[in-house]
Amino acid sequence: MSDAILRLKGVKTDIAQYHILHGVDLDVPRGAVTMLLGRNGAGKTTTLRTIMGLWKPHQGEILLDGAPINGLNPAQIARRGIGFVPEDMGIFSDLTVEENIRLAALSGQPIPERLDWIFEAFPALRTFWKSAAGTLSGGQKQMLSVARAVVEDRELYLIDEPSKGLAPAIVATLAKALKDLKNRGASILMVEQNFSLAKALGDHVAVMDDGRIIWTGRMTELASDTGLQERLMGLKMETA
Amino acid sequence: MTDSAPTHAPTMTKLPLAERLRPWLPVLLVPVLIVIGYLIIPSQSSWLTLTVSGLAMGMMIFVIASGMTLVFGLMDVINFGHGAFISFGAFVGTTVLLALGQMTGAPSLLLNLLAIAGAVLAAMIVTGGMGWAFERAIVRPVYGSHLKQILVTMGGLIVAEQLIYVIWGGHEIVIARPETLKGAITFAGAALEKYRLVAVAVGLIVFLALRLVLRRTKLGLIVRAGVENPEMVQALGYNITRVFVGVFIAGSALAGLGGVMWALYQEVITAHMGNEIMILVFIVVIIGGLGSVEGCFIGALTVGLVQNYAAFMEPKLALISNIALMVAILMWRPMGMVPVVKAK
Repeated sequence: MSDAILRLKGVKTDIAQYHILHGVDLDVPRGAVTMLLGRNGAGKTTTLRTIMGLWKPHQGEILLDGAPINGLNPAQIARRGIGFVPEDMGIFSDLTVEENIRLAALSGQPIPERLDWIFEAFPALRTFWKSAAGTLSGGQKQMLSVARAVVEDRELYLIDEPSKGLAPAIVATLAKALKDLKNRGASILMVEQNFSLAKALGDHVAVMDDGRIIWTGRMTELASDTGLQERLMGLKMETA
Repeated sequence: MTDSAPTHAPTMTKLPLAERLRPWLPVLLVPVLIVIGYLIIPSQSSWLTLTVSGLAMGMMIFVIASGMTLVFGLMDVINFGHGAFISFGAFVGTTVLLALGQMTGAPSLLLNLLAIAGAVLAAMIVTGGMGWAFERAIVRPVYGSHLKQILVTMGGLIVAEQLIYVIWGGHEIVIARPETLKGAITFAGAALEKYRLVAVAVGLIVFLALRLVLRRTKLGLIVRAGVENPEMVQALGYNITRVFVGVFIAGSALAGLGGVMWALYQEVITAHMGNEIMILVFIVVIIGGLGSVEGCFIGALTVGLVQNYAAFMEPKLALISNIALMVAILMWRPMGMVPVVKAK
């Protein structure tokens, strides 16, 4: 992949006394969706958090658009153009939906055109605009988390399991919005356990196991090879 | 996966009145206490005097405690050294007021207020600077460890108190109130000390200013979000460390302001005065809800009123009144009156 917006080279991360990432090498292509798949505990979330600077790698290099970012703090990394949707959504419950969105707009106020798109994708957010985010349902919180990341254009979006614990109808809403984001040419690195969603959105795939990338390729290749899916992720292919 | 996703436009139901009023119940606590005071205190003029006195005391405690609750809420730091900023503020302010004796002794409200403003400014600059140094040298190495925080901030408090002995000596200093703030005005048959009315006004201004900053500015938004989930605030692009330091400095400066107010309230200062007030400050911060400025305000007024009413009705009761209040409120609301949601 020559035009990688993000490149990880031999990234190793420890959390307390545990070695979690054992040398992750990964290229994330520009203008495409890369799905980061793997079993629970493979190191997917740690990879995203390490990229975001929330955990510091003790070895290796992370390059955003060719410039190293692994020595920067999370705020500096975010300001380099990375939007982050964490696994736990990271919603500020005491703030209103509006305040959550306004906080994410680094330039001040949200761009009206972008806000219109958010309301179109997630009508619930308009309804609960002045309500405390803590009163939203799980699905609405996830919508808010995604909306917060996309309220301004970013170089790259890191999205961690957006479908986790959500009803199929809500997942469909999120998938539609993420597909729209993809069609706008966004670069996305997304962790996802729901293989149907991963297939629907992903252009490229990286599969992790035991803190390493064990396979990379195109999603079409993985989606069409049930044997490969079972070998890499232990998936039985009734979902294919 | 289908493209034709449902829109999920939600419908909203109106909550019952009792449910809507529930978050506001703590706000009613202060007027309810005042009404109870009216019913149990035999003389109306005594009740009015005690109420103003309680509100003034509460406002001063609020000014001191507001910084501490924000520091605890945002940084998860238990700062026992906060008392040092109160004492230092009182000593610096008193030194300025004594130096401006001609202004404080003049029968001119303007000159008196200018002298107080000078004292407050000096106290806030010194304690703000101390707060900056305290955060860098003492608190920063122990982020995340409450036990270490208690130990080192307690140590910092002892060092600061000893510094006061070195600079100002071991004796207590008497400070008279400025000329026009001495004495009382009579209202509805009750004697209301002028200084206590000023203290109420200053406390109210500080509360409104803090609320304005926290509710209406981007900085306030960052602080409120940071209290809940500092990690996510960073991931959105805001340098939370700078916000931490800023809040610590502001909190220390507010303690300095409170120190000057308390000095003029008591008209005598000692090196350990901050340490003594800290018991009330901790009660206020805990019953208010850690990290909540609104809770701190309600808690401070409640503590001030209960202490004054109890001292009047049964002086021996005053000693345990605030502890009893804390127990009662924590049984009612274990997370404090206005709890702040923290990210897990």
